[in-house]
Formats: sequence, structure tokens, C-alpha cells
Amino acid sequence: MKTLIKYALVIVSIISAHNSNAQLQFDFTNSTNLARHSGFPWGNTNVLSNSDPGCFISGTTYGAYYDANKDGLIPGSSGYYAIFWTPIVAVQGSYTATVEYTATGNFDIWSTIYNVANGSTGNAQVTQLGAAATKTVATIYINGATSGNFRQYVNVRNAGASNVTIHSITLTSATYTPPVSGCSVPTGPSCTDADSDGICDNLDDYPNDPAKAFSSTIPWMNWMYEDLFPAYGDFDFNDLVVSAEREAITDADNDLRFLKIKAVVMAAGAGSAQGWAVELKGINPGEVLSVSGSSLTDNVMIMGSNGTENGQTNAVIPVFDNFHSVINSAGGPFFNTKPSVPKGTGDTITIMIEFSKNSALVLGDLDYNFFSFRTDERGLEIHEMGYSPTDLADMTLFGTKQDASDVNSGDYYVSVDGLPWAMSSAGTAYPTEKTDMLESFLKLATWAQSGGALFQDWHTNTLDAAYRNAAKIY
Amino acid sequence: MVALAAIALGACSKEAANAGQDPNNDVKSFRDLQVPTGFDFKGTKTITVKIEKQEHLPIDLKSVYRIDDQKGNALLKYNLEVAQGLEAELEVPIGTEELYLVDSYGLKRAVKIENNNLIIKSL
Repeated sequence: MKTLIKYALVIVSIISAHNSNAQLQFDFTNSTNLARHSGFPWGNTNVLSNSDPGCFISGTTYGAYYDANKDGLIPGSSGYYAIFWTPIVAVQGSYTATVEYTATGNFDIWSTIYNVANGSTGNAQVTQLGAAATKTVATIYINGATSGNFRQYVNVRNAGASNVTIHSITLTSATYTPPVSGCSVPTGPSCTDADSDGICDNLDDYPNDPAKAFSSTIPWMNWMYEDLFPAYGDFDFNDLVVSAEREAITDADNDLRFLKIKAVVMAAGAGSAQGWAVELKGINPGEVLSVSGSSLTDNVMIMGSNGTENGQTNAVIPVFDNFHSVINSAGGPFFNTKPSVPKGTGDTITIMIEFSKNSALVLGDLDYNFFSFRTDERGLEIHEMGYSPTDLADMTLFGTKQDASDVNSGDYYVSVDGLPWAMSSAGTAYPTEKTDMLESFLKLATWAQSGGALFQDWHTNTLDAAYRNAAKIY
Repeated sequence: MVALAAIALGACSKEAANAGQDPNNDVKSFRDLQVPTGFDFKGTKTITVKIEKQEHLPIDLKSVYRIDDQKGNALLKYNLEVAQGLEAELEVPIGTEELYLVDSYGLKRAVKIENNNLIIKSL
């Protein structure tokens, strides 16, 4: 063990004896203390926390290389960076890191510590340094109080242009254990990237499709509707219940390329047929290349060639235009709302929306506005409270019966009592036919009257009997 | 006597119908709810994910990160330019208190949501 370590980065190497200008690169011997790993091992806990604890760690990308002629470390293949981590050091209390360097111009060193225990980094410090014809010592990191096992991370920037050489590094008040048998020099195979999109297959959700790389999902949720808008109904919120999952698919550039919506009609306790659709607010219909999978049986909507509805400012995509076409009822007009009637099943509808790469849309551009509409009256839309109607909604309905929407302020689908006609939730249950929602979900009233502050799990808590009346939930 | 019995029966039925309702809340019908102005009944909330710039790392370094929920669903998967950081919005169920940052090596770290912000200072 050493108490004051001064890692003279004169990494004695056999190779320098027969190649005076060599960078050590991968040709290390057991006399070295620099382990070079494939790529850039930052964030790789297997390497930084578990491999070669007594060795300096470098990478084939951005890494620092030893040059015997310059008596120290110089930039690697990047020509700009010289990055390395020290061996794992045990620190108790304050410590300081200094480097000994020469340079022909200005450069800076970013330094931070890597916590071996949890893989975190923190407290980055930057030191700007100037030219030094002779070996000069500079402090690059001061840590006031810490304890644990760390590697010091050192990133020398603009190292190439300023001909920087790091000759040594010193950490005060730090101990370490040198390697017994030298440092390993893993080369590691480069990752497999079948579609050549720059994302390794193990990280690529679609490894064989260059237009798709990452899947970001909003898990299954339920949308529950009262269908008599703008009048009040029985508040069982089961006139239409649709469960849906959304998967946004981005490419290696993080551009939004596809949106997949899977939907199932869970219940339809309504006398009137209804459809269900989504408006993607802020996305122009022209930015949609194609839509597949919509269930369109009743010619309710006039569709454009790309699968979006004509006459809309924002892209509107129908999921189905008549729930009767996407359910398999086991009997009776009320679908899955009466326990006395055999349960039916809903088809899984899968909508795939493709966006133009040229639109440069990103995940944050997805602003969903799901709504139901009457199959025999397209303009009778029902949205969640506060969501705007589409361009084809019947605006004359607002302000009639119990609706108190304020067209001027944009506060839509709110009743005279501040109540909604549609609700969405991560919960899946819904009331039986003609059961007031409050009778089924026992914490709903307190949640609502507290403005959402209390019992936020009113719908998702399925374990606590105090939350629900099972006899009144379908 | 018959009338008394009917009243008593009616009272029992009402109790049974309301059995289990929050004793601190006597509202029995959705229509009778008194909600604060502006309450929108939304079952989700929008949070902002902020991954702060990691300027100590190479400018052109990219690495894939996920934000997962408690069930392991990838809510956000992103090829991050780590020196640039990220600010993005996520829709999560109300009541969600923490999510997980998962790096490209599978290391998972819990991050608390505070004031609808998920702030990640170091990677």
C-alpha cells in the first residue's frame, strides 16, 4: 500500500525498447499499469468498478496513450482528448489531485470522481492551463471532504493542438493497491449493429430496421366516457371504455418516426354507437406519411390518402369509427357492463402512424388529444376536460344543457358544476351499468374535492378494500 | 308498524349502498362533487426530465439512456449527447413519486420526482 501515490506515467514498457516512438496502445506488458478498454469505458461499471483496480483505465476512444519519447501521456486517436481514470483509491477526508505537464499552448482539464460503490460521478471541476516549456505542476481537483473508493477521472481537452503531455499525477491522502500481475488489456469485440444505424443491437429495440432504434412507451391506460354530452348522464363512465398503449419509435438521431397505438374496447354501455380517435396537437397532417390499422366501417370520417382525417389543422387519426365493429359481444346491447351478461372480448386494434423524417419531429412533439365521437354524428365529440375540440367538432353544442365550456378562454368539456364527461387513468376498472362512479371507487370523491391532492391512487389501488366496492365494479 | 319497518329497511339499504365510502366524505353522487376551480380530473401528470450537461465528458460522446417506471417500462429511451444534456417531458400516472435512470450497461438508479421535475445532475 502506498499513502502518497505519485503515478509517474512513465509506464515502463518492453515495447518502447524496440520501438522508440511507439504509443503503447494495446501492446502492453505486465510491467505497465495502464489498461486500455475498447471504446470509452465511462459509465461502464464492469470496467471502472470491477476491473483492474490497481490500474489506470483508458479507452480506445478518447483515450490517453503513453509515448516514451515524451515521457508521459498524450492524446489518443481523437487528437483532442487525453482521458484516463486513476487506479481505485481509498480516500478519507480531503484530498487534492495535481498533474505535472508540459504544453505549447492553452488547454483545460475537466476532472471529477467516479464512485466505485454506485457508479456515480460528481462535482466536476475545470482547470484552465497555459503553455509550459518545462514540467509544471498544477492542481486540477480539490475535494473538501469525502470518503470511499474512487477513481479520479481526468479529461485533458485541446490536448492535441497544444501538444500537452501529462507526465505524472499525484493524489494526496489516498491509498491504493498496485496490481500484482500487471493490467489486463481487453480489446473486446466491437458491438454488432445489424442495421448499421450506429446503435448496437443490444441497445436497439429494432436491430434490423435502420428507421427504428428506440421504443418509448406510455403503458396501458383507460379512457372512460359519459356519452350524453352536453347533458349529464348517470355518471357510470362506462358508456365507452377504451384501453390503449402508446409506443413512440425514434431512430438513432432521436427523430420520431413511428407511433404505434394498441387499443381495446373494454366496455360500451351505450345505446349509441361511438368511435374513438386521437388528435396529435401541433403535428400537421402533412407530416404523417401513412397510417395503417384504423377500423373504418361506417364512413364517418372523410379520410386523406395518408390515413389522417381531411379538414383538420392537426393530424387526426381514427382508431375505430364504430365500436360494434371491434367487439365480440356475448349478448345484449351493453358490452361488458352488466355482470349478469356473459363477458365479451374486444379486438386489439393496432394503429401504426409513420412520420416523415424530414419533419424532424421528436418525442416531445407528441401532444395527445384522444376523443370519442358519435358514429352517426361526427361533430359530437367528447374530450377530457380542458382539451380542445377538433376542427370538425360541432361548436354549437358548447354552452348548452349542462356544458359550461368557455370558447373564448379555451376551457372545454367542463360542466356547470366543474365536472367532466371523460376521464383517463392508469387504472383499469370501471363501474357496472348505471352505478355512480363514487359508489364504485370510494376515495374518488375525496381525491376530486381535494383538487387531486389526496388519494391519488383512488383508481390504481386494487389491493386496499377501503378503496373500492368490488360488487359495483365490472 | 309497517311504515317503521319500511323506513328501517330503507336506512339499511342506503347504508349498504354506501358501505366502505370514505367516512370523511359524505358526497354520495358524482354530480354532487364540489371541486376546486380548475381541477381537471386528469389521471396523469406531465413531468420534466432534466439531465444536466456533463461538460467533463467528450463533446461528441453519445450514450443510450432510459427512464423506466417501477414496472420496468421504458417511458423514454434516448441517444443522449451527454455533454449537452436533455430536457424532455413525460406523461406519468398521478401519484408517481420516482422513476429510474438506466444507462447503456443496465445500471439502474432511482430518481425522485420533485415539483414535477426529474432532475439528474450526474450520469
